[in-house]
Amino acid sequence: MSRGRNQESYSATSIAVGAVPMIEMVGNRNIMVEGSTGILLYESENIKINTNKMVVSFSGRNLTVRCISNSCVEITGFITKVEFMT
Amino acid sequence: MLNKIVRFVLGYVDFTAEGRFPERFLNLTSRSGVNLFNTVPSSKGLSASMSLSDYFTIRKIARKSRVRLKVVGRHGMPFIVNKYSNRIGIPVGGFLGIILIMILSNFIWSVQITGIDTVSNTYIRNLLNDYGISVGAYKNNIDVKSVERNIQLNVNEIGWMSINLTGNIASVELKAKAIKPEIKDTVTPSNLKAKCDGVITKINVRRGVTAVTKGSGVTKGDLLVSGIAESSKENVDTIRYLRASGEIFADVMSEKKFSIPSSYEYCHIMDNYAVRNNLKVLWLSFPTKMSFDFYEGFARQYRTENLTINETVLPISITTQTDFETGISKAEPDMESAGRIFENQAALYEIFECGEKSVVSRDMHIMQAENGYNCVIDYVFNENIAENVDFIVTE
Repeated sequence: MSRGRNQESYSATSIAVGAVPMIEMVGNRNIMVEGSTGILLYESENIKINTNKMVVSFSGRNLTVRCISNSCVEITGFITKVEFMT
Repeated sequence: MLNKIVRFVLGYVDFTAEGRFPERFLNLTSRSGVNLFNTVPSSKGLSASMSLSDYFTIRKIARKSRVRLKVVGRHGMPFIVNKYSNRIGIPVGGFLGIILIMILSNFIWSVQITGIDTVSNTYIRNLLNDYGISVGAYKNNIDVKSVERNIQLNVNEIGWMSINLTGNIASVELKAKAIKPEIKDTVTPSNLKAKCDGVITKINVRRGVTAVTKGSGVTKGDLLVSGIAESSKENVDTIRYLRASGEIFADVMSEKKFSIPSSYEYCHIMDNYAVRNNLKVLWLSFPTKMSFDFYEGFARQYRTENLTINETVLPISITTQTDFETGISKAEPDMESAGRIFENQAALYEIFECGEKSVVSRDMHIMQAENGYNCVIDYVFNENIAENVDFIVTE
């Protein structure tokens, strides 16, 4: 049976080389995004983070970027919605 | 916590970045290796914090991302140092403080003595002072082992001694010498004999053969309890020689005489006194309050108070020397006051000289003589009159 594009699973190698972002959530209060290529929007209600293959949008209240480095962004706040825009 | 300490030491600034592309500013700073923290978005841009060294490198990034930077807060050691850099007194004071601490840490600030009650602290302090251990002494010159050895050899009451120089405090720990207990002879045969005349009131014999009865009168040297015990078993007489022991209480008559002259002189403290204060810092001593009153006869009192902060005795003390003027007065007691004096003397005699005797009766007679007053007191004491008298047994 052939698998469609939506059903394609990402291998560990693709995560390791940063082809796809790795998102780690602690409840809905803390999110760590690895594989970021930049912040596209920074507001207290919405933060959009660019990655290689998609834009990840986080909506919520009192959102702040706690820490930012070359490929990693940590977001804290009350997160209500996560969107993936390809 | 560690992060906070590092940031404080290195210094950090709070700033606002206002402009059209605050996100671009964030991206560029992260790509250039600049760490931002506490980033909070605002209506016109964002506010964040960064280390002081990074702040000087982001001007170019700010221009590129078209944001305007404004410092709103400065924190950390570099700013504090900068703030006080013009006040030369502060670093000089700090340096002098360190030097002072280094110098003062070489001296003894206080001497603490613990562990002994049989010898007075003042005596031990004077003794330690003779061997160079006192407040203000240079502690590197003190040979502790030698001092301990010498004091233990010279003072009989001290059995063990340890001097610990901890920081600026000389802790002296002492242990009293254990007194050799008196070993009672329980082997040598002896009798109990009367050491004075009396009428026996109570007999308590532990060993030996009682030779007297309650109510009988005895004279000095009479046998009270014999150490020779005879027994007869199956027509065989045996003699055992014991060391007699026990208490024989008897009423004993005694006479005590006191006398006082009709007039005499005595020394007493008067109302005048002179106070002098001395401030002592380590070994330096100088007067803070002087008095030029000198008395022909005086009684001197010293009182020293040390400055103490949080139970730490500092080497600063004030010694108050008070000279009380003494005068000589003449007294000519009458019969009534002589009676009071004799009562006092009798009370002192009974407390300090009579030991375990209990007073059964006291009859005081006061007589006026040519030179003064005489007092004769007829006592009846109840006391143990038995004393051991050894005897030699020959074959």
